[in-house]
Amino acid sequence: MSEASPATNNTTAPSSILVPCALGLVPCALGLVLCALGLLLWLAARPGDPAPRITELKPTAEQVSAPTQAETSHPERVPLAEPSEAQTEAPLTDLLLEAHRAFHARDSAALSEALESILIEPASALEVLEGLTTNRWFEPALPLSAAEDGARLAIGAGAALYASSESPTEAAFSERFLSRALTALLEMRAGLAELMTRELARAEVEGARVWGAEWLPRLLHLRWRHPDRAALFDLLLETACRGADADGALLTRLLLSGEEDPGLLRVALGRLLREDPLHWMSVARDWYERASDIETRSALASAIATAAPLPEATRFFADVSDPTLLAELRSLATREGGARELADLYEERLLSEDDPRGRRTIVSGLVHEPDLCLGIARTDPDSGVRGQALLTATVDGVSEESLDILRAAWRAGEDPYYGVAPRHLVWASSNAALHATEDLRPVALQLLRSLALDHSFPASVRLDACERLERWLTPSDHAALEAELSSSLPKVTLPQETP
Amino acid sequence: MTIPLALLLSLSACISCDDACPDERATQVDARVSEVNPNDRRCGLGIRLFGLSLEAFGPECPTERIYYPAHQTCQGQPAPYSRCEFEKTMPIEYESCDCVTATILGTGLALPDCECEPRGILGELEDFASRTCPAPYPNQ
Repeated sequence: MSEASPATNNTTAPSSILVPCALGLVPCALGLVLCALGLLLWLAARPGDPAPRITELKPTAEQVSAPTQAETSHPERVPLAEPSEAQTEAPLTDLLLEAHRAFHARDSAALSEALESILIEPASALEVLEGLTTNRWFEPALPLSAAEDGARLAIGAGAALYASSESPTEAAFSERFLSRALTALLEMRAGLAELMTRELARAEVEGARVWGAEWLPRLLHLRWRHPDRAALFDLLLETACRGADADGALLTRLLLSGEEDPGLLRVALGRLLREDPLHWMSVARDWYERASDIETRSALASAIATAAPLPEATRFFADVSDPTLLAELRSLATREGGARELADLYEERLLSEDDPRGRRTIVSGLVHEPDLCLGIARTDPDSGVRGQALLTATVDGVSEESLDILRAAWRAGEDPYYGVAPRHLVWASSNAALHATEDLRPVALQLLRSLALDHSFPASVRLDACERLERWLTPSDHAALEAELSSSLPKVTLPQETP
Repeated sequence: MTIPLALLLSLSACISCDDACPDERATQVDARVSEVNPNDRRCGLGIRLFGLSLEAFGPECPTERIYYPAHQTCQGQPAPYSRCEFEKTMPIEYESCDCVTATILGTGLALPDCECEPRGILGELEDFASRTCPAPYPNQ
């Protein structure tokens, strides 16, 4: 800041000093005190002393690490400005490099300071976007240079900061910055654009995503206008669709126009399922039946898992019984009340003696219900459901009871009411060995070893058990087990051609 | 007399054959990784800018990753003299993930990272395979 910049309002100070003295109606002492006070005010505000700058309002590193409520007051707003030619490359690049360094050194205070230094000037923030579109910091040998990584941090932080009511810039700058960021994505090289999109999509301020429903029309427009870069906008669309005020009619259009796009399907259907679950569940089921690829089916299932009412969602998964939708089913199970709904549906399907495949699917989602799964492993009339229940019960932990039930199932052999398929016994024992505490692990390993040596089991299952033991045994112990296993396996004969 | 008898025998053979060659082969499904990240968890640093709390800048970190092995299914893909048959079951394995601080050897730097560890077998899927129909085949 120039030292010569005059503060015009301050030039009135001297005349205000003279007024009390000129009155002559008050005691002289009081007049002197007032005169002294006025003089002090005039000295403090005389021309040549600059007013505090916005950059001096930013907190220091110490303030950042221990912020107080008082710091959240609105700082002065900075007018909009174009990127300045006067800004040399070095300081901005240095700040980006510092942001990168501070981030990777986990130095929050230094990172905050570097980002504040960039973002306090709207022109610098825009310059970062321009630099990314022109590959100013691109290094051919690297997918992302250190300065670009710093720019990634600055753009993500800028999106959140400017969208905030606490932003140090004019309110209109948020719109301008975010709009420029969107078009800049189209100008960046593909990998960089994807990274920046992720950063932007995550931008959050005061618990709310930056990309609200008001951005939907523009995002859709960009997506349809640039089909080759459509995937970039799907992430942002997903965020915008989450808003409670997202326009249902617009989303319906989006969904109907993008039925073949798994990303759009998931985004729009998820939002519409919350709006009119009855109608859209029926549509989703119909589309699922017609879908021929796993990506589309997964997108439909994902939307249902996260957005459909729990009873409808659990029924959907039980009905389709698709083992390649385990991840989506587990998303459903993590919803509040999801596991309870699955348990209720299991009871209902058990009583109706429905197709056991539905129950198997339900049980595979009951991951955080080991006691319930152990009960199912003992009592379900179908061996496949019992086997799945043993897998689910042992996948996150193991107890003495679960090992007892495993042994009991093994002893039951091929009993239709108590037995379990050999592969399920091996896999559940392997899970148990993985999660067992030090005192239970030898028990689990002994069980797995016994299964490997069980002559009644298919050779492939025994070999699988032996392979899974390898990580726990010494090389010599494992070699001995392999030898023992080989000697007990039936000799393999090549299949003869049928005459 | 011989010809009608042969026809009758042939017809009875066709009626009894319930394994007519479907002329279908198995369809390849590539291995796939699905992530469970209901709360969009991310690892990284939290910072404050001008008194505002901002979220972290690290990698996304799902709570779980599920690995579906490559397998084959029967989806009616046409192939003469072939049928699609069940081959075996394959395990679906999963990992649980958490945010950690990963040190970059030799640099003294540590950065937030998402680390996953195997948790075992969560389920199974069926693997199918293409088989040649036995020859001679009654309906070929």
